[in-house]
Amino acid sequence: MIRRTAHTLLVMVLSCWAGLAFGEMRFNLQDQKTALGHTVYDLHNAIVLICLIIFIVVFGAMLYAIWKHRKSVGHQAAHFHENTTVEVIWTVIPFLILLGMAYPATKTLLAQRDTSSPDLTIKVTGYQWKWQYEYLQENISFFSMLATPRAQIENIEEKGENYLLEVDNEVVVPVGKKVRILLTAGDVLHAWYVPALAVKQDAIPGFVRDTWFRAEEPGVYRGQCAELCGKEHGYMPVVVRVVTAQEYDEWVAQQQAEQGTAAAATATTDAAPETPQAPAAEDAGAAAPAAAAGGDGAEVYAQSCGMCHETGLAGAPKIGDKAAWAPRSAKGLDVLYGHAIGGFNMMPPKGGNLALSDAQVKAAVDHLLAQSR
Amino acid sequence: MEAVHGHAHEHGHDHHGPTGIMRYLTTTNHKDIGSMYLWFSFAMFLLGGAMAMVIRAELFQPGLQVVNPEVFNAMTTYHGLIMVFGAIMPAFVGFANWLIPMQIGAPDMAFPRMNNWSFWLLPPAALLLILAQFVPGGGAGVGWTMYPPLTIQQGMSMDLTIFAVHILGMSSIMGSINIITTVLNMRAPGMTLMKMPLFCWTWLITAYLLIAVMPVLAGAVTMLLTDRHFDTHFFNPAGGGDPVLFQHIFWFFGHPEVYIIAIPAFGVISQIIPAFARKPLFGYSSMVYATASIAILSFLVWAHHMYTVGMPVQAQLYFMFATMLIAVPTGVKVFNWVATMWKGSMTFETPMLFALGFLFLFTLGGFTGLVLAITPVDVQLHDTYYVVAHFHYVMVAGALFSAFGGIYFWLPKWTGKMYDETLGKWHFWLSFIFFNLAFFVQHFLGLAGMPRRIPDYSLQFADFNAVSTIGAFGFGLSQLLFLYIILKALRSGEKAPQKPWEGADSIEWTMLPTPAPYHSFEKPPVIR
Amino acid sequence: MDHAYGEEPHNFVLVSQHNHSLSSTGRNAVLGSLVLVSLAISLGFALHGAWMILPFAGAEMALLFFAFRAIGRRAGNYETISICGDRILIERWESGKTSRFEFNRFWAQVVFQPARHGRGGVLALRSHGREVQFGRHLTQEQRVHVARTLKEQLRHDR
Repeated sequence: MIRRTAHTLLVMVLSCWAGLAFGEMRFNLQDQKTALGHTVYDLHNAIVLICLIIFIVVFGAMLYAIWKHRKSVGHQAAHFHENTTVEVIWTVIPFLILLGMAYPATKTLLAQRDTSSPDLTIKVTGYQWKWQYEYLQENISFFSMLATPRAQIENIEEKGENYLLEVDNEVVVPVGKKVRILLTAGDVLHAWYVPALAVKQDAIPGFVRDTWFRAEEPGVYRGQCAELCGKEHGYMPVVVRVVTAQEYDEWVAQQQAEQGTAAAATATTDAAPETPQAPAAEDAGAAAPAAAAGGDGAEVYAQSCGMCHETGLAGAPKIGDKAAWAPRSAKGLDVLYGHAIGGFNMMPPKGGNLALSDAQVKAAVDHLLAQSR
Repeated sequence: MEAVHGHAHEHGHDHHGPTGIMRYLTTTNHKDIGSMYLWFSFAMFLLGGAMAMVIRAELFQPGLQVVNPEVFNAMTTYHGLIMVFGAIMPAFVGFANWLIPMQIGAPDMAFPRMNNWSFWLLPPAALLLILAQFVPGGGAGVGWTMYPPLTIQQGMSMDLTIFAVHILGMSSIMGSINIITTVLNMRAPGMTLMKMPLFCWTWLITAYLLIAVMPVLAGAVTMLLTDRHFDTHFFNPAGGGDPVLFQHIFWFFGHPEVYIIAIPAFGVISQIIPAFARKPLFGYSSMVYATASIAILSFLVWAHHMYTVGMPVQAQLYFMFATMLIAVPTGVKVFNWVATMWKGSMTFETPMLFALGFLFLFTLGGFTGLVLAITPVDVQLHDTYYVVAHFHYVMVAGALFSAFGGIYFWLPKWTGKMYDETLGKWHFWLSFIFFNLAFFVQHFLGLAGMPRRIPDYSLQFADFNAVSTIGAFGFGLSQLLFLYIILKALRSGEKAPQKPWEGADSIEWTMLPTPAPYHSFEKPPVIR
Repeated sequence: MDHAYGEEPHNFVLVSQHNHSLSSTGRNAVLGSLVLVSLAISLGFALHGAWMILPFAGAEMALLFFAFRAIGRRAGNYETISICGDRILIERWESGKTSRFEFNRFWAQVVFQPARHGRGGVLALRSHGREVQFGRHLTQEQRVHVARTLKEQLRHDR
């Protein structure tokens, strides 16, 4: 114990010098690699600049008063203690400044939240302590975990360049494409955070949230889980590799070959380039009467139902489990629609996603039944 | 009249109650209770500070050196809980106990017995929080925000923590009922609301906030408890619960809580600055209105703590605008303080130094708050060290500096002894420099993307973390100097004059002898 | 605490009462607004499923109600002790009830029992085995002071 403490102290003193010698000093947000990120970066700089000006004015006045209106230089105290005009002015001016800030902030926020018409959708699920990535159209799925060896963390080996920011399986996306990330979690809260892509979104068990990014240039962008999720919270990095379209296609093909999912995915990937949403809806429509109004049952399923029905969480019958579904479908479609919309036993109404229309829920039920027949 | 009252102050030191420990266990005297609150809060401050030292020691360099991640998470959790509920809040309740009866001309608090209970609830709660570290499984590693479902996974320490929060909440509720009734009902004839020293106003508003939000906290942690043990599903997604609902509830309490801590600090600063500028507070009534507006706004902005949970964009816009609005009344307060100094006749004794330090650093924390209010920017900064830096600027440089200033300011009144002015100034400058060393660099860490609550980090964050740790240890050690200064003043401080501060003008200075007698006002003072 | 001399037929009058700067309207307004705010908050959350805030808010409002009722009741309370010829009169007005105790000035004895275990000392007048307390809403220190004053008064004129 004592030896360890002494060792620690020694390491501390030494690294105090060493620490200051290496590593780059960074005083602002990371260099942004998305158009939105540039906007956020500029917005942040502008606000800091405005604050700095106000700070200088206010504390300039204060420092002047401290310098000139002090007793030691013989200044006599004045006795004023009110001035309505001045008080109104310094209520109104900050208000106007805030209005000026609110406008660009609103514009940026609206752009940030617009997740419509993505080129690629990846479902990301946070677990203690790894990320699962599922490419919904391509049928690729894998887990991504910290790749830094334990020995580096315990200071036995020298730390590598990407210490704690390296994973076994990176998530690969094409450059210049709008990537929509659907986020959820399997156990506790997590947050998917990649600073250079200006993306951070909480992953909430039982709910699906989304965010998006469109990377401007190829490269490897590293981030971390940003919501406390237990003891290994500091050890679940996010690594996004942005590649050219051609490299991406090769990577997809390779992954599909490895996972043996190529055949299943062909139907969707072929159709994907023109209208990514529509063909999937047609597929579902062939099998399901309600799908016309409800859109893509498969996608709704993936967003709102898969959490439990994919894994059997909370006693949910798993998709594809014919034995479990046979007695249920025997109850009749309307009963199942009713349960899905209104909730049943452990199942929350609409799978917990009340934003869904009834038709969307029905489409998801059709999809689920089609897969489990 | 005079004949009857001729001996009024002579009996000031008669203590007819029990002595020794029993005096403190049974006392209903607001001054005893005030002192106990302040000592308790200082003890908790040292305990919470020690936990902060563990955190900073671990973060001194990359890799795990001092503690394992479980202990690290427990340290962040209990550092937060102890500092918020055990150190800062009781410190200002201590000020309230000491000062409010003196400032409004009341013999004591409205409910002296309840006052005693609300203090003696605190030590058991503190013991529970300490005990939680030693039960099987160790302390709960959930952060002071206690977000489920992580809280549902924790061991027995979580239950102890929940009970402790219940007890602390009960204590706060009794304390604030006492304060609200005292300020409203126990004012001496002539002491109208708009003549009260600003400190009383800030506590009146704070007590109102506390009464409004404490049941929310109690309900929130109770639902955590039932989710854990009684198979309810308020927040547990496995049974159809909504973890985000907890965040809404917690921050509905939590944001007003931030102002519950900050508003009495504003009150203390508003007493100190006029005294050392030798000039009345500028814009008294606008100060009152600004404080009240901040309090009202604090109910309407809670979800800016959760911009990344994926709420509808309309909600994000609303919370962004409402949050930005807080800058207006806060700005009014800062401008008023500066205007109070303007054309004054200033001197810079330790209380004034802390008040100026407060003003400077709290405003900085206010600006980073504005940056964080902007949703698209916050999405980058949420749950990073930027947030850690921000709230330490408002909590430490805000509330804590104000409490230090207040203690130096009123110590002569309370004890009749002066502190060592030179050492006091050393305490200020050491605290000021090390505080900035510890926390200013954390802005850069957050901007560059270092998440909070991680025990280990990648190499790009190494330099600033090393600096921050050095600053934090310096800041921590400086507080031992504070303890020494206080003990020295109590043991061998010079006798304080009746009015040690030339410009102090509220009635505890002008109407009461120094030190304040055990019972303050025998004859209601007349306020003109 | 107020007192005045002289006006016939009293030789000495001492009135003790609490500060009560809050009117009953003010009391109702504060209590009412807190109940409304608290109820709005807890009902709002109850509608979203988190009903467990309600009982806590209710309990707190009950405590607040009793506290405000207590200060309301206290507001009008007062006690007077007057020396009037050879009589000493204690009049007590408490929660709408008046009680009156008369002592013979030459037989009455001022009794003061110092405080024990944090409880305030007891100040009373005693005569012929009868004892009446005085100074319920005074602090401990004030009672000491009143005891001394009364003793002086009685000695003076005896």
